[in-house]
Amino acid sequence: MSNFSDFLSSGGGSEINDQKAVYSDVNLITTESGEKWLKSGVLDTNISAYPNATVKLTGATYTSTNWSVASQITISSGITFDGTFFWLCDRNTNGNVYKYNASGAYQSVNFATSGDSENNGIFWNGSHFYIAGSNAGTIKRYNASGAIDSGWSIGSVGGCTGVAVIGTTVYVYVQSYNGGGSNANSDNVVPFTLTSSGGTAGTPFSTHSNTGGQIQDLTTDGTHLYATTRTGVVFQYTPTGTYTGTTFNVNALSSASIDYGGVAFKGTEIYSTNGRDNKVFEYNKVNSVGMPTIDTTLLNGTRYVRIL
Amino acid sequence: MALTKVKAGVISSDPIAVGITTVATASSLTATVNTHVYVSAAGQTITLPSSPTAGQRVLITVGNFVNTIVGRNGSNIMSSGTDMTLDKEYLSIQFIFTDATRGWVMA
Repeated sequence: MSNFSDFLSSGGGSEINDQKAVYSDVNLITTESGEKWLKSGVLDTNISAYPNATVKLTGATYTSTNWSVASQITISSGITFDGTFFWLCDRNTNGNVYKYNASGAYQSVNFATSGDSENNGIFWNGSHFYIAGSNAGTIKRYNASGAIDSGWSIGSVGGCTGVAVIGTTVYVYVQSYNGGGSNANSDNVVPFTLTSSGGTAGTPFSTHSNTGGQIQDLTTDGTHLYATTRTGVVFQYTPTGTYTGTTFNVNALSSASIDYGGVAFKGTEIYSTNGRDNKVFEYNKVNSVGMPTIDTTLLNGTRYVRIL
Repeated sequence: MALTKVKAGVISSDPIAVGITTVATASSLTATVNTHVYVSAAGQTITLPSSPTAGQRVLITVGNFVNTIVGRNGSNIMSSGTDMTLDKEYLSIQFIFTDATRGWVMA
């Protein structure tokens, strides 16, 4: 079925109020260097041409939801989310790693670790569990079934309390890296470039000036690193170690406020563990939305906005 | 001024039928060649004549609605083997049959 109006513009004419494509020479200028300048006031139907607004994690609000893991764990510490299940470390001597569903129900699945008697931090990167040991100072890797990757290890770098992986870099929070005592300036986040057998250390950075001392866990949302103190205060860093200024609390449990051991992200939520009550606490992310950065210029009397 | 029939030596007072006749309809119908169909109700189908020959025409005028369908009745309309919806109010349009390829063309 055709329409009469389908034939109205077949002769090359167009209606007066037709929208002109934004990519015409008039409305969008792309410079030789690739800069895109959009004519101010142009309505663009291709919204992908505009820069995205910025979303910044600024805080966490306790949802009043928590669950106990005391039936399985003596001292809860590291926590990670694999997309479906939570996995929690027991920092107690020779403790195991335990599996819970998203509602906190124990799945009757756990696996033992080896190489370090204290499992302090855990991170699932989509293919492996990376577990930080705070006694021997090792990072070990396990597959999804909990079998150790015996050919892979970052060993004896100092007490490791947290581990997070972004791409091919393994970030480890190391107490007294290159000497010095715990809670001192020598506590560092050390980036290791993944190798087939372990990792090659890169340039470390210290969180001490922000955190004021030892951190208990390290995690990531894929973009930033998050260092959490034992009092449940989270500090956000870029992967190169720059503090972003974002900090928030995940310390809902005042009665045991000094033994927060792990933080994990799950969608719009954040979860923290506390080693004294052996509970997991749920928080909602608090985000702020900002306008994209823009630049303007005048060209022959017409204002253009540069898409950054 | 109305034209009149002319007979040899006689001037008649009867007007002759110049152009085409108009058929007003509020229902669907099949148009006769060389007629004008005024469609006064929405949602009707005006079917073009079957087996037209070149030069035959049908005029269609619609009222304040946008859903009159022109049935092609086996011939093309504007080179297309599909019926046409007259999707503009108060449209008045003429279809002239040209050939089997282009079929009824709008004028």
